[in-house]
Amino acid sequence: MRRRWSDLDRAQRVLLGLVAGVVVLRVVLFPAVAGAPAFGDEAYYLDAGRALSNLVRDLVSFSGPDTAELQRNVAGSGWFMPGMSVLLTPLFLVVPDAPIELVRGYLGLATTGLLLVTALVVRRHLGRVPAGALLVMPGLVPMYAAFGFAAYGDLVAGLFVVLLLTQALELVRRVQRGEQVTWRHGVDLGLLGIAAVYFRSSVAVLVVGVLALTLVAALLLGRAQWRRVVLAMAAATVAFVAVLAPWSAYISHELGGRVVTTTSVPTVLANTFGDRDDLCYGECDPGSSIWFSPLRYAREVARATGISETEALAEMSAYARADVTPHTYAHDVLVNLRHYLENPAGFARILESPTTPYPSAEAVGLITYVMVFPAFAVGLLMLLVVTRRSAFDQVQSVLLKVAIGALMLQPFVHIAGSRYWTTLGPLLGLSAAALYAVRRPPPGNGSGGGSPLVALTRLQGALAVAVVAVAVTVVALAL
Amino acid sequence: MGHLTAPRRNQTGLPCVFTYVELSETSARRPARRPVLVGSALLAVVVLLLSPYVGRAEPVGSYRPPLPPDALSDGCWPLPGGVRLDFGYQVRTDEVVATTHGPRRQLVVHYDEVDGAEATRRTEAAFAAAGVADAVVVAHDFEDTLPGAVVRGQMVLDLPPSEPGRRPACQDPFSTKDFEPPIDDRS
Repeated sequence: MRRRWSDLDRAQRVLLGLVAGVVVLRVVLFPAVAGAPAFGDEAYYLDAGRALSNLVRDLVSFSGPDTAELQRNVAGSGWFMPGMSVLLTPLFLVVPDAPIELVRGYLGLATTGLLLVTALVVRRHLGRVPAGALLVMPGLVPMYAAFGFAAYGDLVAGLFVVLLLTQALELVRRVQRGEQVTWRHGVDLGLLGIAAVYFRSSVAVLVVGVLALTLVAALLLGRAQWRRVVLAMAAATVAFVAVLAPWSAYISHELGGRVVTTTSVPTVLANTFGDRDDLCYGECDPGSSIWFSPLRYAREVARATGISETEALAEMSAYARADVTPHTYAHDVLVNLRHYLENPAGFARILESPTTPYPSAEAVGLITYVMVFPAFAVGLLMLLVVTRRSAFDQVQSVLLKVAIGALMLQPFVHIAGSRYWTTLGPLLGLSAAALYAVRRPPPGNGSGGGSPLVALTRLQGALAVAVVAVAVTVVALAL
Repeated sequence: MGHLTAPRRNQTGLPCVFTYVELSETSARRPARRPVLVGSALLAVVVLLLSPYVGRAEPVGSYRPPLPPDALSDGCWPLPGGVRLDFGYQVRTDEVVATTHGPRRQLVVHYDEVDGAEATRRTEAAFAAAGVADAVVVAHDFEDTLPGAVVRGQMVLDLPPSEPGRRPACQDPFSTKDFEPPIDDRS
C-alpha cells in the first residue's frame, strides 16, 4: 500500500483507474437504484433469504426450525435455486426487516467485491489484459452495475463462471508445465461450478461442458499424468454432486417428485414453444401470470389425484406441446434469441427508484447499448475464430466457445429476456482479450503457452462448424 | 498501493478464491492474516449468537400463495342437491349466464382418471339420487394427452342458477372460478 502512484507502471495505473471507475459508477448509480421495489423473482430470493435467516436463528437457539415457513419460502414451487438467498441470509440475520435500500446496498457491495476479486484472480492467472477487459466489459456497463444491486442470480453466476474458467485454465497450465495436478485442484473446479449453478441453475450445462473439455484438453496436453488428471476431474464431479445433492433431496422431498435443480422446465417449454391456451388443457385461470396460473392448476390436479405437482406439470406441458413442429420450434428459437439480444437495458426503468434524486434510466440505457451490442459481436466472433497461437490460447478458445455456446442454448429452451446477458457479459470481456491476444505474435520460449496442437485446432474448428450448422439449420427450418 | 496479486491457497484448504486476497507478496504480510481471520470468525460468531435477539424476519410468501379450497366441496358453492362428484376433478369456470331459458349455472370441470362416459354416468346417477332433475351433463375426452395422464377430459354441467355463499372466503375467484367481472393480475 505504501508504494506510490509514480512507482506503478502504465498497465498497473490503467487497472487501478478501471477499478476506481467500477467503484465510482456504482456509487453514482446507487441513489438512483436504491429504492426500486423488489421486482418479479426478486420476491422469492428475498423471502427465501428471510426464511433461511430464521432457520439459522432457530438452530443457534436450539429450537425446532419452522418447516412450514421453509417449505413455502425456500422450497417454494421449486423454480429457483437458493444461492442468492444464501448470500442475503447474513443481512437478514443482522437486520431481519431490512428495507429494500439496505438490501440493494448490501447486494451492491457483495457483487462489486466479487467482480473485483474475479478481476484479481483473472489478472494473476490470465494476465492484465483480460483483467482490464473484465473491468470494462461488463464492469463499466451501467446496466450491469445496476443489476449488481438486484437480487437476481444471473450476474453472480456469470462471475463464478469466470472463476471456474480461470481455474480450469490454470489446471491446464499446470499440466503443460509438468507440475503436479491433485484432487484438490479438481475440488476447486467442482465447488466453483456448483456455486454458479446455485445462483442460476441454467448454467449447469455450461459447467458440465467446461469440465468435460478441461478434461479433454488436459489429457491432450499431459498424457504422462493422465491418472492424476482423471482423478482431479473425478474429484470435481464428486464436489459438484456433493453440494448439489442436499438441495435436490430437499426439493424432491418437499414437492414429491424427482427434482435435480428446478421444476420449471416443463412449464418453460410449454410457454416457450407450446400453445399457452392449452397448458391447462385449455386456457389457464385469468388473473395470474403465465407462470403462476399453470402452477395453480397443477396443484389442483395434485390435490385431486395424489400425483405430485411436478408430474402434473409434465403432463400439462406435453399436452400444450402436442402441435409443436420443427418449423414452429425454430421460429420460436429465433424470437427468443431476438429477445435475448435486443434490449440489454430492458431493466433500466424497473431498477430505477421511484424516489431517485436524478433520472438515470435514459443514460443507463444509452451507454449500455453502446457498450453491449459491440460486445455481442465479439462473442459471435469468439465462437468462430480458430487460433494456432499457442496450446494455452487454443484451450482458452475452446473453453470460451463451449461456455458461450452453452449460455446460448438458453433461447433453445427458454423464453429469453433482458437480464440473461448479465451471465454472458464477463465471458464477452474475456473473449475480447482473447481475440486481442491471438492477433499478436506467439509467445517466445519460456513464456509459456506451449506449441499449438493439431487436435486443439480441429476441436476449435469442429465447435465453430457446429455453431454455423446449428444457426443455418434453425434459420432454414424457421423460413 | 501494493501489487495487486491474486490469492494463493491458504492452509484451510478452502478454494483460494473463497478466502483471502493478498495485497502484497512481502513475507511480513503473512502473520497479519491470522488476526484478520480470527477477527472475522469472532464477528461471525457474535452475529450468530445475537441473531435470535434482534427479532425474526417476516417472509411475504407471495411466490407460493396458499391454494384456496374448491368452492364445490367447502360449502361455498355446492352443487344442487348437495351432490358431490366422486372422482378427481378441477373446476375451470363456474358462472351464472343468461340463456333463452333464463339464468343458468354453467359449471366446467376437468375430470381425472376416468373417461367421459364414466364421469357422465356417475354424475347423472348422483343428481338422480339427490332428486335433481334439472341438470344436463356433457363430457368429451381430450386427445393428445400423454399415455397415462391423469386429466382425461372436460365436462360441462348445465345447472339451475344459484350464487356462491356470502362469506369472504367464498368471494375468492380462484376458489369459486367465477371470473366475472374480469380480475386484474394478482399472481
